[in-house]
Amino acid sequence: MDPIDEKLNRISSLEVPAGMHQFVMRKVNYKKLQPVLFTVFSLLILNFIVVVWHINAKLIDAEFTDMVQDFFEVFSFNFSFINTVLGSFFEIISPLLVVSAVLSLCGIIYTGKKMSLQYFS
Amino acid sequence: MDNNVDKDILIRAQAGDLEAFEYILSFYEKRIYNYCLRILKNSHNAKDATQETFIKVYAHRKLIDPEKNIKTWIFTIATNTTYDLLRSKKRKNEVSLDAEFETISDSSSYYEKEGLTSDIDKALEQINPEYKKALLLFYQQGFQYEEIADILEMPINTVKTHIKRGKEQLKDKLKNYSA
Repeated sequence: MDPIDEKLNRISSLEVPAGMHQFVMRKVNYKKLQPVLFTVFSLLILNFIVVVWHINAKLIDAEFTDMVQDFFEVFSFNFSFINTVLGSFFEIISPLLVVSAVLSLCGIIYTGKKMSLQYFS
Repeated sequence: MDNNVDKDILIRAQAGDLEAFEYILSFYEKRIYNYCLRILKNSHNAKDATQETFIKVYAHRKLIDPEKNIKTWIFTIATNTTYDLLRSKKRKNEVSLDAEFETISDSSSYYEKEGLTSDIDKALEQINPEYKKALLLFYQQGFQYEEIADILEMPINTVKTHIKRGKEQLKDKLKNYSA
């Protein structure tokens, strides 16, 4: 064997810098979680839109005018006001809000499950 | 030392198994880091290039062919990543336009700082970078001519010429050290 070949076969190798392996695994974990995060954020945005639409349609347009009407009808804003506010509150708790809450809860459970699978399995 | 990862691990990595990917990472990270370090002559950039290489490997894991040698594929990604990094650094003027062709006086601080103090290490830094790449892949990484041709995207005869001329240049440079 040529002496140069022998020397070339003994080229030094350096150790990998600390933290490089962990950095790559963190990045890769994040890449794997990306679709989950996308689903959760989509659910949150959907939830927000539903809540905004519901408040706008049911509370402001309907209940607020009801409240004003009640106020003038009974000429006593003490009890009628409380009744209207309470009535409006229970109007808000509608099937749509229950659905959006369930969707959010599902999103949170799904994320939690995925994350625990990633980090603790 | 075995140069390849088991087929079973490659199949699992292809399916997105993180444990299998971590095995591949552990298996090749040192080789890739050393290869990038020799090309980029800077440990910080070499670390970035190595990280980027493995993130690309994961992102393109569907392209893993369990029947083929993954090592060639990873080194091709590493080579392209170092080129991209050099290009982006040149655009930002963080390295000189001829960074890859720096002479011993420019890179002496790099190899001494990194502990590459043997004659062969010093001499390697003084030869043509294209010859150096071919020599590193052939001797340090144990690739065949065909595989080097795939990695560096050049004909096999050019690879053979680069290795031959690289060795000649190395001999010349080593004479200076022994003199």
